[in-house]
Amino acid sequence: MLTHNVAAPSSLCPILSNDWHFHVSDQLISPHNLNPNLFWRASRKIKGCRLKSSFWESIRSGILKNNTTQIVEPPSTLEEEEEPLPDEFVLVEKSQLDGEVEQIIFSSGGDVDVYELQALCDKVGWPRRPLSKLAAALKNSYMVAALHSVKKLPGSEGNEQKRLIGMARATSDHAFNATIWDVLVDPSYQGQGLGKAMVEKMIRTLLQRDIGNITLFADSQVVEFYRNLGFEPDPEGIKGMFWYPRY
Amino acid sequence: MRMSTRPTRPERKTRKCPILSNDWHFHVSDQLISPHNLNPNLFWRASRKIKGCRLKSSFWESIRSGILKNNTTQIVEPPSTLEEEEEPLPDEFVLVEKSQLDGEVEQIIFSSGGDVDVYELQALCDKVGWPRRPLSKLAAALKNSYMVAALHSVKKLPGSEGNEQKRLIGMARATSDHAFNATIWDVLVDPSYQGQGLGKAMVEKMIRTLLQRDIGNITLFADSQVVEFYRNLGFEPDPEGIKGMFWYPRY
Repeated sequence: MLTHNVAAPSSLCPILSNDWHFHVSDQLISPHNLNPNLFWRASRKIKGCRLKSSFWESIRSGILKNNTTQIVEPPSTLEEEEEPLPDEFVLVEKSQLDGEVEQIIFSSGGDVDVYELQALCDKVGWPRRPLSKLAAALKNSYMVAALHSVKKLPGSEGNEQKRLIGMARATSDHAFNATIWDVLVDPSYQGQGLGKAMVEKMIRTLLQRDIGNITLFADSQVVEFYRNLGFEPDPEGIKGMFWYPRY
Repeated sequence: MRMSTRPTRPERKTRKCPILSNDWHFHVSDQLISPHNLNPNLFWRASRKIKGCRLKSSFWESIRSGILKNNTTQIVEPPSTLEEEEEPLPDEFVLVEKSQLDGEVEQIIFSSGGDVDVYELQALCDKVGWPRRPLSKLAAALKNSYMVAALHSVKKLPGSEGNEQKRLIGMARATSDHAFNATIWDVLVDPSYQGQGLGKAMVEKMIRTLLQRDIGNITLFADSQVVEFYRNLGFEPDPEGIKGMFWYPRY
């Protein structure tokens, strides 16, 4: 069940109006200090970002309607409308009948615990990789995006359960090219548009940083997923190639 | 590896591309060799000797024969016994040395230390006909690449007191997460120097270095007209149906 928070104290995914306010703590929000008090009471208000409505509409409707086949148009008026998005915000908020609230939080600050990531990779069935290399890969990625589920019971004095449920990362030369690797979402949370939202946010951030060539290598079964996000295979006959791939 | 009309010099003072024997010595300066201090004295006289690297012979044989015979269609086998034989290759060494009748010597030097002058690179990109890119972004791209390989031509006249002419004639770079994946970008060779196996050697060296650093997934995006070039280097397009994809590519 989705509740719309009318007073908008939460930093929900900014959407339409440019006088929409959301509250942000001026402390760096990290997994370790995601205190609801800090989160809900602002030390300052920040004017909501006004984004090209169709871009975000597609995310919202994807999440609300479970419609994963919606095509995302490129944000053509990106420069005139865009303010930088916050590095962390609530994508979805659900309330259960017993009062438990679950938030799905997007972050691009790289706050991924490598042990949690290893467990998530196991859960989606990926072959095991050495922990040290996983850590190095995270450290040396230009951008690491994550989805966390935060569950809170009312009156539980801020006790909450926080779990990594998705991740994606990108390498880049910080100037021209970026390549997205390792996109994964917990199977229990798939089919809700969360992976789509995560990748869209990465694209947006990369474009804001003027990195215009965004690439990836897609297994055959997910080519369509990325096509719907605006990716095109083999444009003008350009082929992705691998050196002696080991199957 | 000389393409020379003069008899081979007995002493081995040049630091040539190491190939076959494992007791082959080469001299290395213990100063960092940069474009600005590539002084022949420093270069020729060693402060130490380093035992030559013994590499899987077929791997380097293919480079040598490619360069000597102008054979660019040679297929490169993967160095299957990489770990048992490999010592780290030097970051800089002479790939080719040519002597002219007038005594001028030209060396083509490979380096992977990232010593690329951004202005020279811009001129080289112009020369191969690539669209202009902002200099500041070019500099940032070089700085933030995991590996930048370069080819320089160094021309020396005998008795010219070490005066030499040094030019950038090739470059390739790779981004990486330092652990699993690398992607090679911007491979270019001066048109005057193409067709000699230099681009091939440059990419092979990059691959070798990446493998030595345990980065096993080496990728790139190839224009249709160079897919065959990379196939011959061991690259495969769309393995198991994996597609390279671009976000709203602008043609």
